[in-house]
Amino acid sequence: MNRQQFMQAMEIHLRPMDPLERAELLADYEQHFEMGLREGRPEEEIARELGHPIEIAKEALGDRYDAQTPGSDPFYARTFEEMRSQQKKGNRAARNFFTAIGLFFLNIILAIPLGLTLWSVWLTIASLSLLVVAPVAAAVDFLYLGHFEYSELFVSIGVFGIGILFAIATKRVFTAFKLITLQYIRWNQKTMKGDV
Amino acid sequence: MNVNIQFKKGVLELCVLVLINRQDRYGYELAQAVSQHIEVAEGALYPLLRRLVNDGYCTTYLQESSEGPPRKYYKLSDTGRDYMKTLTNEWNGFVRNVANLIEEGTPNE
Repeated sequence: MNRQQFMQAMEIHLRPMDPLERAELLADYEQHFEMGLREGRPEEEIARELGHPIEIAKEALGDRYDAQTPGSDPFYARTFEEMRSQQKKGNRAARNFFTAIGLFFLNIILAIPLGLTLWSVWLTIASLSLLVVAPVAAAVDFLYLGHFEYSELFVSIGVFGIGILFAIATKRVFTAFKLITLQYIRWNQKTMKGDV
Repeated sequence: MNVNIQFKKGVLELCVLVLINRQDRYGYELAQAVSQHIEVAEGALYPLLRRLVNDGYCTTYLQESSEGPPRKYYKLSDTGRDYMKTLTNEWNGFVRNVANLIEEGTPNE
């Protein structure tokens, strides 16, 4: 058995091991070969002294070694599903990063100005509903300033009505905008979580 | 023969601890040092070293060497030293007892 054969066999038999741990252990054996070769010893001799890969793997895996585990079967190949789940895991960090950047610019350039516009429209409507106090103004005018005109009375009653309409509009618009805003925030959260 | 392998496996841990206690060593060096005294599959050494590190008996550090890549040195920790002393005592007592038993068991020879 030469160096390559030994390392390949170790790689296969150590499969049940955690990937990082396995990589470190394999690096130990690589280094062992390097040093042996540097002393001028043949690969076959070094491999023979190391022992049989299956026996070493049994030793290294301890309780984790099991004839049924995928790693103990030299013909085992990862399924498509296993490869995909691993790839997903690897890409997640990078994906999250870019999603965050994308959302950040979307929010800064579009969503926040648009949201502010919507809500300032609402604020305008809401302040127009303050027209309902017009009759009070007329009353103050009459009671404290002694100033009375029929036209003022009628106009104040009319404006009161318009104020009520705006108040109703304020409530409706508030409900609608709240819904839009909350849905947008929820979409942001879902996008970050990667559900979309 | 197989029994002998089991003996060696059990004793390998103690040998490695004693060797590292004398001086910090790297894997290949340890393998050579052990092989001088007992014939073992050197490959078993690396999982063992890993276990010693995980259990806190050893620490590792990298050191540049004049030739080749930096070497991973193993150093005995304080708990490792205590553990080695315990193992050594147990081993000595065990060996003595077994020797006594064998001697007592064969009085006619």
